[in-house]
This record gives sequence, C-alpha cells and structure tokens, in this order.
Amino acid sequence: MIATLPKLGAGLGFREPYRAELLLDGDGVDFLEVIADHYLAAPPEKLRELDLLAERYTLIPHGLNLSLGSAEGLDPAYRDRLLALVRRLDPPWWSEHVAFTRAGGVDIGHLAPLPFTGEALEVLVANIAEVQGLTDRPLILENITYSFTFPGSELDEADFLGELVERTGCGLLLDVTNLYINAVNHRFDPYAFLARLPLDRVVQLHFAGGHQQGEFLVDSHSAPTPPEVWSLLDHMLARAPVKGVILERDEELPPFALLLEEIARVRQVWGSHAR
Amino acid sequence: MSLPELQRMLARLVTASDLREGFLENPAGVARSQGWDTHLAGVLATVPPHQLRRYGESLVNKRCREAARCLPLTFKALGESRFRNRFREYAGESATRGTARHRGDAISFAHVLRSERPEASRNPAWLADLAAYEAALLRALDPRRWIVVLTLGHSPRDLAKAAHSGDSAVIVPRCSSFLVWIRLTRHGPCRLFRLSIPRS
Repeated sequence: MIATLPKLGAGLGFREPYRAELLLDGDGVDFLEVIADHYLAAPPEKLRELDLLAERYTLIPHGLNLSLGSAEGLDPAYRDRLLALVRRLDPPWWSEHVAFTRAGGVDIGHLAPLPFTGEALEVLVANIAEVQGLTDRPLILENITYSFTFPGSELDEADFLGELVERTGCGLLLDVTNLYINAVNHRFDPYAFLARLPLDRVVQLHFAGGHQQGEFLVDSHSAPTPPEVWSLLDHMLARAPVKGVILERDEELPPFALLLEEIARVRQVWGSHAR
Repeated sequence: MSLPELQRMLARLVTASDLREGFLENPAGVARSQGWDTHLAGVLATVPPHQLRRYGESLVNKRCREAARCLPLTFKALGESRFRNRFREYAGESATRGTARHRGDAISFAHVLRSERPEASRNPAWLADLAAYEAALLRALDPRRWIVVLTLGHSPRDLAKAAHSGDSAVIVPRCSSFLVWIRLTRHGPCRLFRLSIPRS
C-alpha cells in the first residue's frame, strides 16, 4: 500500500498567518498539512478557506483528538466529523497520533502518552480497525513527545510502533523533532531507535525546532530546525521511502521566506539521496 | 494493569493541579479519597513528580496560548504577564471540552474578565467591554449560531485603538454601541451590523 502512495514532496503545516502567501504565491511549497480540528466546528468562511487551499495544494488532514489510544473507545461524534473532513479533502493519506487525549469524561487538551504494553496495543488496534472500516483513505500514525514515560511498559517505543503498524497496516508519520526531544529528555540514542523501527513503513516526516527550558527540551515548534534534527532528517531520507516531509512551525512565526528556505533545504537533502 | 482506570486517573491528575499536588504528597490517601485502585495509584506514583508537574503545566500553557490567539486585543490590553497570570488563575478552576475547546475556553475567560471590577482587578476601565466584544466575535464564529447580540458602553473601534496603544490608563470615550452578528443562511457568511451613539 505504501509503495503506491504518491510522492508529495516537501511542504508546510498550514498556519493562518501565511494564508495570503500560500494562496497568492506558494511556489516552493509542494503540499500542505491542515490541522483537522480547526475545521470540524468551523464557520462557513473557514471551510471556504479550505476549498481555496485545495485548489492549489494537496491537503493532508492531521487529527489531534481522535484519541486512538483511549481504552474507553473513540468518541463517535468526533470520529464522524473527522472522517467527513477526510472525505471532503480526499487526501492520499491522513494522520493521527499514538496517544490518548481523553478519559473518564476529562478532556486532557493535549496528547498523552500510552504505556508500551500489549494491552495498549490491543486498544489501538481495535480503535484503528474501527476507523479503517469507515474510510478507505490510508491512516498514518505519529510518534509524540512525552514529559514522562508511562509506567509498566513491556516494549520499547520503536518495537511498539513496529508491532502496531504490522498489525494495523498503517504507515508511520515519523516526527524526527519529537524523536530528538524524547532522546535528549529521556536519554536514549535516536539512531538506535531508528535502527529498530520498520523504516519501510515511514510515509511522512515532521520536523521543526523547539526551545530549551532548563535541562529540558520543549517541542514548541517555535524555532528554526536545529542541526541534530537535520541529521535525523538526512538519515531518514537516505533510508526510508518517504512520500512527504512537513515543516511544522507553530509559534514565533518567522517571515514566510525563512520557512521556504527550510523547505528548500529538505528538498536538497532529499534530492541528494535520489530516492 | 487496567488501562482504562490508569487513563482516567492520569487524565484527572494532569488537569487538576490541586489534586495532582495532593497525590504527589500522599498517593495512597488521594487514591482512597477518589475511590481509585490503590495498586494502580502506586504505579502512577512512580512517575517522577517533576515530570508529571511539567506535563500538567504544559497543558495550562497551551490553553493560555490558544486563549491569547482567540483574544488578541484583550491580550494586548492586559500585556503578556498579566494575561498569563490571570489566565492561570482561571484555568485552575475550569476545564476545556469539545472540538472547539479553545474558542469555548477563550469565551469563558473573557466572561470572567468582564465580570471583574476594575478597581479590584486593576484592569483598564474599558477592558470589560473589550473582552465582551472579543467573546461575542468568537461566539459569532460558531456555525451553529444564527445571531449574536451585544451592547457596549464604548465603540469597538475605540476599544481596539486603546488596546493597541499599550496604555492601560488611556481614556476611551463613552459611546453606546449596539452590535448584531447575523448569519442568514447555514453556509452563508456572518454579517455584523453596528450602531454607535456617542455620549455627550
């Protein structure tokens, strides 16, 4: 399945302040990733923005709150709204996270980690099967950053993700910045992690820069991409059949031209590996 | 290990700072008072406290950032430090829900600011109207709403100027303003009709 997916190139996570540049002159941006949640309860004007963008770019919807790791199951209302957006955009793939965002009536408001256990795998497999039964658009799954590791893990994260994609047929959205941040904060070798990951399942990459808070790195998506993340990108682009790379800048938004420089650099690195 | 219960416990601990601090001090005691499985509570208690606190703090920071995006004029009027401090007080007593959680959070926070007395809060005298205006704008973005009505004691244009001035002591002239946002059809645009009558 992954081999037949189209190669989209190097693109950008869509952020409203860049709307004018992207609509008027988006040369240098191959495709866009849109935050699905921004359009699920949006006024008609916001949805028309989506239609305008879709005239120029392939749009990949990126969900935030499907909570695929929720042991209590998916929220049917959210699931249906998200899948309606996927149908509307008709993308080559869509993405969500290996995480949970709500439990017991509490909406956490952000991605929370799962224990890397057989029980969590079963939950993910069941929830993913539910959405796969409702859409034929391929789902790819993103690794998250975590402030803490959930106690009681039976596998390491790379093996957990490998088992997950093997059992579900999903692809991977490897966020190399998240990997780097976790590696620094939790003291492991990101390259050893990548050596255990099924690289042939990696469909898309995310990258961005974060910031330091004391000894801790934060995935704030607020800075230019650091050298260590460029190295991981280079490593991945040399080895994995990646179809798309997205620069995810959320905060401290720079001039559009600076983002285009980073995207161009990705394209250059990618081209040097001739995949 | 019961994943459903662990997730329920974790969701409470990361979103309720008082509960979290109590748990970090006395996990078994809090587990008993909450009716949680004490063994599972013991598992969660092995998470280093600073990591759990950091995650909980990051959730509040995220809510604050999104609220600032939704209320840009109110953020400018209060300044970053006061906005963040006031939001953190509000966030400790509230939770977000639903797909449009950030919009809802911002509207709730704006209502809190609107209800504060300037002499007690040290907010600019016109901040209540500014917060009310931005909250109404956000409500008008809700596609389920056909009409939003708001009355103010100041003109929105003057409020925006005051916010951009960076001077919380600036005097904003009194001006009775009546605003109506109307969406005539479900997929149609939202139109604003405004009437402002300066007071002499």
